Amino acid sequence: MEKITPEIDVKTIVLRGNFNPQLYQPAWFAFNNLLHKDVIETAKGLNINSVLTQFSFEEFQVQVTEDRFAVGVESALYSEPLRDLVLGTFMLLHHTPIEMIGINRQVHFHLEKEEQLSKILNHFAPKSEWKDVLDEASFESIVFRGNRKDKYEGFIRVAVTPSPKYKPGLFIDINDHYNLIDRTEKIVTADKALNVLKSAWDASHKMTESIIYSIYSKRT
Amino acid sequence: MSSNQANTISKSYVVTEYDLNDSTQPHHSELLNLIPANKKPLGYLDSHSSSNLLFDDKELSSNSKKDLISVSEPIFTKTYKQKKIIVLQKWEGIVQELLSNSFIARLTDKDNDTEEEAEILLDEIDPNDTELLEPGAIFYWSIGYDDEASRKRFSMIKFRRLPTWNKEELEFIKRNSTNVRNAIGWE
Repeated sequence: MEKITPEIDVKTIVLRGNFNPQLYQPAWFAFNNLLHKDVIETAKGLNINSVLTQFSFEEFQVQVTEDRFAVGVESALYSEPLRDLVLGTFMLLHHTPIEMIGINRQVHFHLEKEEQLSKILNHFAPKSEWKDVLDEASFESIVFRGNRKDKYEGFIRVAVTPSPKYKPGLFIDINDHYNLIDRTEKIVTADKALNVLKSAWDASHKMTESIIYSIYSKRT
Repeated sequence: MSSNQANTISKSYVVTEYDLNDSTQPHHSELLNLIPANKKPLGYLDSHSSSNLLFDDKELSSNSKKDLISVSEPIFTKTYKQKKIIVLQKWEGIVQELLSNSFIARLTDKDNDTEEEAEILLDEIDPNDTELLEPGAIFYWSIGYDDEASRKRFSMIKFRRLPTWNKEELEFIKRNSTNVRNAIGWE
């Protein structure tokens, strides 16, 4: 599989559960050596209150509300440090109840010609199928959802649209979603989310690479 | 912050004006730029990427910004811009031995899992990470091209940051485990 490089490549990890937003401030991450101590002085967009903490530092963006913990990075270079930040955080806070985890990837490609975009989109939703029912049908978005092939519960959702950033451009949005709740268990902790990050991270990355490649290669 | 304010913010985060679960609506992030600001989702109900909340500040009109602020939605404010990085090769490394101005590491190629040993100059390390350099430390090494302005080659080493136990904490754990073992009656 040929290596392809999107113009924008964003990776995020989103946890759903119960969180105390005020805890997740730069000083906490620095104190626990999860981010360099410079984060205390140089974090940008800092906003901390009882229902929301958010800031960005280097390539990381952190946003925590009472039911959601999200960290994102802009470059594939920071993919492993992103995973480690979430791993480290919940190794320390492993009693945090986490019910779902999403490993997400969003990429934008700047295409050379409009026809390349048409080829991709027509592959998934041929315009000819719409000519009798819609005038000048144009493609806005298409979302696919598939079952997981691994041992986890959840799904994989893939959205394909023209990129709003580039013209002509392609945008692919992948949500690798894991449901962690087992109704028979009385106590929900962060352990299952940590297991996903430890055991499924590489597979998730390979899967998103292969989905992106498969869609992008339809341009020719 | 008053409790009313807190409730408003909290509520606004989980309730959407633009119903994300409605299959007739576009429900992923970058399409948000095509939706009037006052109809933008205030949050996702599943574990989808937070970057759905990534609004390009420059692309929003001042009125749109006002709309966004008025609902107190938690958004990432950083603008994602084109910064094309072409990664040619990526390794995961483990520090084996420290030398005076370099270190020996065992490297695993992330693409094909092959292993090799390399000597890496200390100058290659981000000054923020030098405190993490010790035998056994794990790091990620990427080389490639940075095409942001003109093409430049880059080499980046990032050391893994995970919680470590200090001496006092280890003593505490040891004491606790001894107490538990004694309580259970194990030898």
